[in-house]
Amino acid sequence: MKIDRKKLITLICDKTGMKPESVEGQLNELITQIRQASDRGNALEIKGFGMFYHTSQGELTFDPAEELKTEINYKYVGMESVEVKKPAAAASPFPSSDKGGKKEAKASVDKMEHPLDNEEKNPAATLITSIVVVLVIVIGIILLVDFGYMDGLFSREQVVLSPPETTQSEEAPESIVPDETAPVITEAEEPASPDVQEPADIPVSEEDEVASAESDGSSEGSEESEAPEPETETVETVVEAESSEELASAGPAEGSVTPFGLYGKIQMIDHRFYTIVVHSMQSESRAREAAGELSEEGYRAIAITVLHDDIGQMWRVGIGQFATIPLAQRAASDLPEEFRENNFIGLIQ
Amino acid sequence: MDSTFIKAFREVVREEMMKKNVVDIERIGRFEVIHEKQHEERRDDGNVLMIPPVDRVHFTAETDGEA
Repeated sequence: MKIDRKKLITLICDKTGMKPESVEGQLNELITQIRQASDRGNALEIKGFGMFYHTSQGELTFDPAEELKTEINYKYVGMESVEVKKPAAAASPFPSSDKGGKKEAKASVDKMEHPLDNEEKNPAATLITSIVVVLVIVIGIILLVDFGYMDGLFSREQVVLSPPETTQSEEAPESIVPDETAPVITEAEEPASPDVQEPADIPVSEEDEVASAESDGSSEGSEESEAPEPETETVETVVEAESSEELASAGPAEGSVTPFGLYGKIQMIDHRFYTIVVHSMQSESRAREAAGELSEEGYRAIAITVLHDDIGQMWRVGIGQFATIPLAQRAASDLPEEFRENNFIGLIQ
Repeated sequence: MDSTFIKAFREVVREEMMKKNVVDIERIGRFEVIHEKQHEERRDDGNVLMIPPVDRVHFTAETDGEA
């Protein structure tokens, strides 16, 4: 509905009891002041309403006062952004430890690659050490050549490198092969089992919600490619379980005891969940009444109180309990039109 | 202009906007409420945020008014 000048004057008259001529005259005066002030490059502020001024392009602009903004946005006041997805690197359940491990490993490798770093600080010691090492090597070579140890050395190497049947059976390669393979197997299995099990324990509350929201929400979940496969499988299993619960409660299943769903009764659960907020109001009784009506229609309805600095205590009415935002969004898209066009997803902690 | 008029003007415009009505003041412009739906927003750091819905005051200046 459009409120034109005539209707505006009537409404102001109704509110104040002033005569229409008086209101019309004062309205004209207000309009003139707004235009004159902004034309002069000044601004005209109506306290609690907003400020009129001209932009550099010469366009008349209005900046609403914070009070007006809050009153207009009263339904959603206090709502804050919810983090749906963390960056891929931070999404790993073990980001810091992995990075730290890599850094530590790199640091140790660096140390191994530069063992003479400290000695280089003392050139005399380095020189002496080098001379001693060279002398030892030269003396060793002379001794080996003189006493014929070189021949024996070569012959021993040949025995080891060429695997004749007798050598294999006598020197028991069985003991070598298991020794080589055993650590490989052990090393492969040990990290694998914690990788599979730990995420299943850790993300029960927050990580799980984020991950399942990603994998469930449109195409963005596919970007989580850095996570190891076992973790992905674990998460998917959880999502499927939730989805099946959703599907199980897709109809008004009375007496449903699943923790999540659109229909049934609100379940008191320990961890946070999402709900579809369909009403915002300042009256507690009205909120509870609305929640009661929705409950009679079969929805899981909940009335939530919100405290705001400007407006004070507000009440929101939500329907459904969902583990993730995408699940709530999916349910919201199937709601009757009266709720479908005017709702938002709220987080209940 | 007396304060009673200013106060009433402020309240009437606000109340009508809250009823989703458009208030058209001659020589000034139109006041209305624009609803922005809840949406996702990707930040530079890769975070994806769910931005809550908001009702905003929107003003459109009257182009045919006095200069």
